[in-house]
Amino acid sequence: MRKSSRQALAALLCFGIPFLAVRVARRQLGPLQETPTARQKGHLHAKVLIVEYSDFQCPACASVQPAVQQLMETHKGSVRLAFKHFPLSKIHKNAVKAAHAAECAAQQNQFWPYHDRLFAAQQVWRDLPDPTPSFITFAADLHFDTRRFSECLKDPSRLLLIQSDIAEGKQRFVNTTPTFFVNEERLVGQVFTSEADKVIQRALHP
Amino acid sequence: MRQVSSSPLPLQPVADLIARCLVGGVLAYAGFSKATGPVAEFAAAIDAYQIVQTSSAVALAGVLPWIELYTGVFLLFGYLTRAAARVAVFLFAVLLVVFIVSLWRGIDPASCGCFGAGVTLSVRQAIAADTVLFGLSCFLMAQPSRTLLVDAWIHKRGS
Repeated sequence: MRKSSRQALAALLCFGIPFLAVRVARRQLGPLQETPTARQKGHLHAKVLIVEYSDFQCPACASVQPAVQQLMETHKGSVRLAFKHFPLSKIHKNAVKAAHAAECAAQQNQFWPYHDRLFAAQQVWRDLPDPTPSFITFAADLHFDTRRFSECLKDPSRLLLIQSDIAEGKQRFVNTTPTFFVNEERLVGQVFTSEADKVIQRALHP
Repeated sequence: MRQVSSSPLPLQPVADLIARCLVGGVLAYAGFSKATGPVAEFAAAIDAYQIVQTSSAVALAGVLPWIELYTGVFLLFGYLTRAAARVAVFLFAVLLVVFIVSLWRGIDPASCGCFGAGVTLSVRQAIAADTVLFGLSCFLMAQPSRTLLVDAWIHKRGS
């Protein structure tokens, strides 16, 4: 084989194989399932849907909450927020328990006040060997039916909703929290703080 | 005409192959993982080090995985080996600077996102790993490779 032919063949294989491998390996994004109403807020028929995959024990998730609230205020009537559980249980050992507690709050239609409380008091409960007493205290402070709340914490069936969110997140290639989808445009971590408003503006004024 | 240095050390072909496999393998794996995953994930990881603006982080996140992937594959195949080694040296040098600066500034990337997938190294561990890879890349850049090269097949004499 001539040298020029060898050069061409080598270039074709060395450039082509990685490109094709990436194209073949890329998977389709999984579908977005309906979020329980208790974990949604904002205008019912908003043009922009923000889906947040979050972990109550994640410091970055806590620090991004003011930006989320600000956006909801700024674009009131145009934006709807849906919360999805994505506890990173391998690195945050109390994350699943916190998600379970939030689901028990949702059972009493108090998801959002409890969500805010969990993030605000994250430093208090995140490193406790057993955060359950703290979670019950938060419920009492927010005037929940604490007996019903405590029974719910022992009910493993609430975990099914959390596991469903995790499975959906994995199908949508969520690996990091917080991950946001703003009308299907993915923003991860603190990038949300600086880019979300631009994405929302583009969606509202195409 | 390609320069060929005189009498290599007896173990050099083995060392060269090991270095190419390690550096090329790490770069190819890292590039492939990022190129097949969401660009936004890598953009968040770049943004967490607060070295460049967010818009630049997003742009880099689209390009860097492909540079890593092709550099790694070229080293593994022994194709355009010296050029690939130079790119590897540059990539690891930049990474080392980023990690050292973030350590000096006290930046904790975990505060910008909780990264759940894959191996998560602390900044110090990342500096240690990249120092080794930087050294191996410098070795590959300095010494002409001889073992199992597509380059050698391209330039072989005869039919």
